[in-house]
Amino acid sequence: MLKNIVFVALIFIHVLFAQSSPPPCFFNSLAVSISIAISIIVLLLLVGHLLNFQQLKFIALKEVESLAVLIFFLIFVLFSYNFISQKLSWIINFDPAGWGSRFSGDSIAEDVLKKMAAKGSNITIQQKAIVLVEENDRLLEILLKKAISFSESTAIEASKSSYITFYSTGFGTSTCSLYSIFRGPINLLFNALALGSFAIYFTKSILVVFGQSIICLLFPIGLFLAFFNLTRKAGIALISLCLSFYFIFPFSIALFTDYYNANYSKQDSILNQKTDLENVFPNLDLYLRNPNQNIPPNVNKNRWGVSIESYRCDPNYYNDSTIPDNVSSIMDILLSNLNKVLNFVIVKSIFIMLLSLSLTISFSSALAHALGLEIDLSILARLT
Amino acid sequence: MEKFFLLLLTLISVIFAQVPPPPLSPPIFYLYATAQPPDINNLEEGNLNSVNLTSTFYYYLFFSCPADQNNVNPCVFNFSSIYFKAGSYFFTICNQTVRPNLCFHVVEDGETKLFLAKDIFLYNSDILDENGKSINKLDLLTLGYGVNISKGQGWQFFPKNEKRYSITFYKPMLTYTLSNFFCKVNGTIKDIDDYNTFGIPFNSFYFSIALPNGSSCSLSQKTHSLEPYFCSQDFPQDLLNYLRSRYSFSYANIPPNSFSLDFIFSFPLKREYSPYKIRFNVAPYYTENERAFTIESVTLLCSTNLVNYTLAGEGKVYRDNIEILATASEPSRNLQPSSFSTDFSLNILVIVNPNTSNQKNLFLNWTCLNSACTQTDFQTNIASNTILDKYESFSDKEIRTLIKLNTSSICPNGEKDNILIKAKGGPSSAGFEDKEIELYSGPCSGKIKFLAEIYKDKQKDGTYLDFELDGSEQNKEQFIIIKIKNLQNTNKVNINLNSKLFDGTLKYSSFSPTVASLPAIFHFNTFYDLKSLTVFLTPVGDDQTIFREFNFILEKPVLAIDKVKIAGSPLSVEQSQDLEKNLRLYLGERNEVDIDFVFLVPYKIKGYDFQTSLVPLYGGKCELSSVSKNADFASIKVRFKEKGCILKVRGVAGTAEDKSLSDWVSVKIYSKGVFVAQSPDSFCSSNRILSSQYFKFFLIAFSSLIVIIAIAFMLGSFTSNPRLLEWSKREIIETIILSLLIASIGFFLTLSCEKYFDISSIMNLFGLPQTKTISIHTPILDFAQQTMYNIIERVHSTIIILRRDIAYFHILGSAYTYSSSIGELILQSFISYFSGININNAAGAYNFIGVYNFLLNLNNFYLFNILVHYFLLFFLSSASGLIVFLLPIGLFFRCLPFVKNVGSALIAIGIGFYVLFPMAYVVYGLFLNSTAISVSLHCLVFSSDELCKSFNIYTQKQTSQSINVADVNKFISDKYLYMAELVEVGSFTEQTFPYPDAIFNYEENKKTLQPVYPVDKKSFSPNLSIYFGLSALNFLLAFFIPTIILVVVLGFVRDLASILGGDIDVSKLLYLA
Repeated sequence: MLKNIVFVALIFIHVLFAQSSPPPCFFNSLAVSISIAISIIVLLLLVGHLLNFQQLKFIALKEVESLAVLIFFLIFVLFSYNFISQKLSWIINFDPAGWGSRFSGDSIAEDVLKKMAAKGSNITIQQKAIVLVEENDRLLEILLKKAISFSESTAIEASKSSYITFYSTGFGTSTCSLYSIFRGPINLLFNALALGSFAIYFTKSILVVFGQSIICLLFPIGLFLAFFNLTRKAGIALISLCLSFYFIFPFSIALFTDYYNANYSKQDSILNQKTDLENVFPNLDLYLRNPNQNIPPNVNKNRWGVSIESYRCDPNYYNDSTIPDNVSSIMDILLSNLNKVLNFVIVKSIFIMLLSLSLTISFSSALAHALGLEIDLSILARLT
Repeated sequence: MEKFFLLLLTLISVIFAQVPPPPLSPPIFYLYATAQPPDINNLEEGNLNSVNLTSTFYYYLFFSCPADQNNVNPCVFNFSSIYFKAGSYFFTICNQTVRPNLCFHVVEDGETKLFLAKDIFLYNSDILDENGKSINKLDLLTLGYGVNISKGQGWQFFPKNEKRYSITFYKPMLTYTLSNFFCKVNGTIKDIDDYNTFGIPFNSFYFSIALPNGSSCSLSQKTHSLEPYFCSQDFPQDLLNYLRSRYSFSYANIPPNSFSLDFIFSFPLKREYSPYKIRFNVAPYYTENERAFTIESVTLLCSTNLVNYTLAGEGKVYRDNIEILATASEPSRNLQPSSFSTDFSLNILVIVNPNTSNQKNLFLNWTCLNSACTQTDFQTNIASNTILDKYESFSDKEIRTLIKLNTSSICPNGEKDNILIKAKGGPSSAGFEDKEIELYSGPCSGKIKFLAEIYKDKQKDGTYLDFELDGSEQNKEQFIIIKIKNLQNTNKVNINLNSKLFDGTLKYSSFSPTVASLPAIFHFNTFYDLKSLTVFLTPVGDDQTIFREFNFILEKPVLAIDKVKIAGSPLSVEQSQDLEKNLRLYLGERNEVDIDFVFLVPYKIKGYDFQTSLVPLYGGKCELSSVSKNADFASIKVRFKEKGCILKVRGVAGTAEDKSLSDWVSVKIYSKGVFVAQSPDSFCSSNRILSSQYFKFFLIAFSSLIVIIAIAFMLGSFTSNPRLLEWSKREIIETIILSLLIASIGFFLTLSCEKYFDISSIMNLFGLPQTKTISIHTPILDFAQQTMYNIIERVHSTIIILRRDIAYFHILGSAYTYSSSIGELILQSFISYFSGININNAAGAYNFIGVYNFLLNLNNFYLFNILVHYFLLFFLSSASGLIVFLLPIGLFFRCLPFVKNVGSALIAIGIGFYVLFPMAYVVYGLFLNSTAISVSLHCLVFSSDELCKSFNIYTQKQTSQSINVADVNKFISDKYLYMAELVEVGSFTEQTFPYPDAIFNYEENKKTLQPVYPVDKKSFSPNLSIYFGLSALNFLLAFFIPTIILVVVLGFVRDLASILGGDIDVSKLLYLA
């Protein structure tokens, strides 16, 4: 009894502090659900009373108890979902000023960042998580473009061959095919980027979908189902999943991403600064894409006086001695940077997403158990 | 005690049951009134743009009753169905208790009656006597609800019994700002002779529309259209066209000696036409037979939507002083009670010399709490006599301040100084943020400097006008009038004023005279060509107008047609007739048109579905170019450089050519048919075994059960076996419960394909907002099936593209080979010596095959998963599905002691999958169809899409109202994703692939050794991130959410099984996912 009173008192205190009211869209399903549920209970009681059927009355009274728990739970969530979101958001205090430059030109993003930096801002955890994931997306996009450019350039180099005939007799050499050894690492890079991008888009989708629809669509439906004995389990499963994905998932994403940013941001430096990797990409890129740009200083000239940048492969049969040097130096640069890229992709994009998803599903499983669901929701973790 | 408890619960139940659920419709506000009693002689106008119901206001209602022949009939007014609706709330009662109420009293013959109002509209009626002369103009403004004025019904008019009604609106607690009018005019005419039937009314009357800029237009009704009768030149052409396109009429139920005609048109009023003043005149018009008729009534019905709160103001620099007027007014957002606080703040900041170290400023701050405003802060380092005059006014929803500043003290150096005036403010309630506007920025004085430029921004797809007005001669007020001529193509006109000055101060300045301080920069963003533009500068008190007209465009406009609708059937090999209609490209005055669209045309031949295959276009003089890829889809670029060019179209079936003689270019397309997957039949259209034969199976099983129980009971009685007796008694009770359950569920079982219980019922149940993208009268099972099928199509489309691209990369990587023969032919020495270099310039395509295969595998898996669900739906949920077997067998097993659990499980699975599984997909489908969700998901992947420019991913809200539901619909059903296949990254030129010239026979060598460039010599890279995003989206749609649905359904099955007495571990079924 005392426990229940404390529970109710806590909720009321919480509601008092939260000070936000649920949107009007919610009341519709609430009114429908409560009125139908109470009607059923009354009917059971009435029939039980008239027929003197104690079991029916017992069932009805038990239903009243379940409904009371649900209603208190409902009040708790409804009046505090915004409050909780903001509180969760305050826990994570990353410094958005540090990476504002990455969003330069995006006025909306800058605005959001500015608000985040402002003291006492009302940014919710969902918005914070989306900004963090969006930043990952942008970094990944940069990587992807570089990788595509690198891949195309090296493939073109590898396809070069030369031939010579003399009086209908001749031979051909394809010394540049040595460049095709980049294909393996590049495929690895692409697959990693695909997974990373996949994880980021999935995370964003979940954040957006649950952020938008939780209060006005999914939660009311879950609630409606949970009000009736027959569909209570289904409703509880839905409610648990919704709340977990609304609160825990963005919180977890933001927390881990912020932690990563705070402690391992040096790993990201490849994306911010000119590095060896970036030096290779645009130079090969230059060859294909932008002929009017000044040729870098390290050029040599072929037999016909055409300038060739040092990383380009000269396919002429007599000039194959420089190729291994080029290839090995590019490979060195590629592999050393690939390591960092994979670290970024796998840890920051994929691992954090998987970790958050596992946490969320575990939480929803626990919540569902607390609310009385026997099905083990953690089987959903297979989705990860 | 128990009875008391029961009574209490019953009471609570009754109270709860009577609470009507509040509607979820978007805020719509129907009110057209002024806060003052109307001027009866001048009633046609009113500031409809903004109605502030800030206090008690009056509405006068005048009815006059023209005499009938007997002078006996009293006026009859039927108000019974009137009620008032504002935003999300119904104002159904007149007590100010829980919610803000709005109601009115009608005093009739000394007796006060209470009415609730709905759909209040202006009512305008002229009553004419026999000579056609107006005898009474009193009844110009009435309030009513859908009442047609006609003899014998509803309202009757007799002048001798004229009555006046006054309606008082009690103080509402709301302030609304209205926009977006939709108007409809209804009217009736009468006194048509018997033999004048159809012909007369159609050219019998006209009506006119007057706009606030002084322009007006009269339109007369022709046989089947509305034609402009007399229109002033500056009447917006697009509005006129819109009126004409939306005009319709109807005639029905013609009583003797009269004729009834409804003429209805509606048009959304945009910001350009505001503040909105529009007048409708309908006048009788004599016909050819000189037979007059009389207009009996005209009704103007308008509606509008709510907008957010406003912060407005303006700064005016006069010779001696500066005037600042700033206003912050209460929002009506969402109409939540919490937003009705009267908490306001308004700050004004004046900075002199903002960019120099000599900066001075003046900061004024007001805070209003519950209508009491205080000046909480005042900071200045400007001379104390700066403020000449200060006036503040406020209401409970608005704070307004007008300040006069002395220019001699803040601008001692005259024109060299600059002034920057800003205002910031808004409600202090939670959820609202301060708006900031710049009221004035510029010099204290100066001369008029006039710079203007019209240019076309291809990227932003609009025509822009920039002009700058720098200072004014006398520091007086300036009028700026902007007229836009020759606006064409009236479907969309989107003109945004994007200027520092006009953003906050002048909202509707494009078509109305507005007051502006200088300088100002305007950006007109239109979807049309701005062919000429006139700018007037009129100093106040001076007749001399500085005038400049532009009739030139600096850059030739490029009309970008983003979507070409293809109508009719494309040609097959056998049928080659009517594709001319398919592509019609309007060139107009332009010389150049870019079209970029995706080409996939479905059509039917002899009942089979086909779609077009490769449809390349080749140009002659027109320099058409095409990018076409494979047999299923083609992306085409066409460029027309001149009129009358010859178009050649080459298809699989042959070549055709056409010459465009006019502005309209017809393109013939030949295509080859290939099979396209047919849409599946509706599950509901299968034989309705369940509805007809379900009870038969049930009765058989039920009878066997009763027989078994009876036998057990008899055996038990005969052998006096208590166990048998006990068992049969327990079974009897469970059987009764079961039969009740199944009889009631049997009712639900027949619902899934019924028309009377469709998804609109579910939407109503949950109060979901209606969306136009789905037909709400779809049966449940059909909608669930359609939802799944849409997802299947979506995933399958992704797979098709991936497959196609993998093949394409294989071909691309091998086909385009640069073969540069750098021959040195030394023919003079008779030595044949060749050497050369081969380059595969698209070899990079091979590298993408790996990642595409990876994505293909993923998507195949998702497709497989959603197909499993689709077959589950078919197998378990359709009317002729497994439930026909599961229910009776389960019932039968349930009767047997040893297989009771099995029976319960079968019944639970059958009912769970039959009822809840499709229902869950219906909710999922509604969820996907909601605008916010579909826009969000769409914009996650296609963030550069036009649709998504107004979508803010961070706050997950649309930053404007411009998102069209029809556009959103593309997300679900269209092949929209094909638009983003490749991105252009560069071009192959002779500089990027240099080859040394041949010494001999240079020209010939150049021709033969030209590398095989890709189309347009452009280098394309796949837009990988789009594919990643699509795959992630497919994962969500086809795998993640379906699995959650399965979990929910299994929870239900588990529950049901335990109620039925069987305990099954359904969690193993989750491995279905």
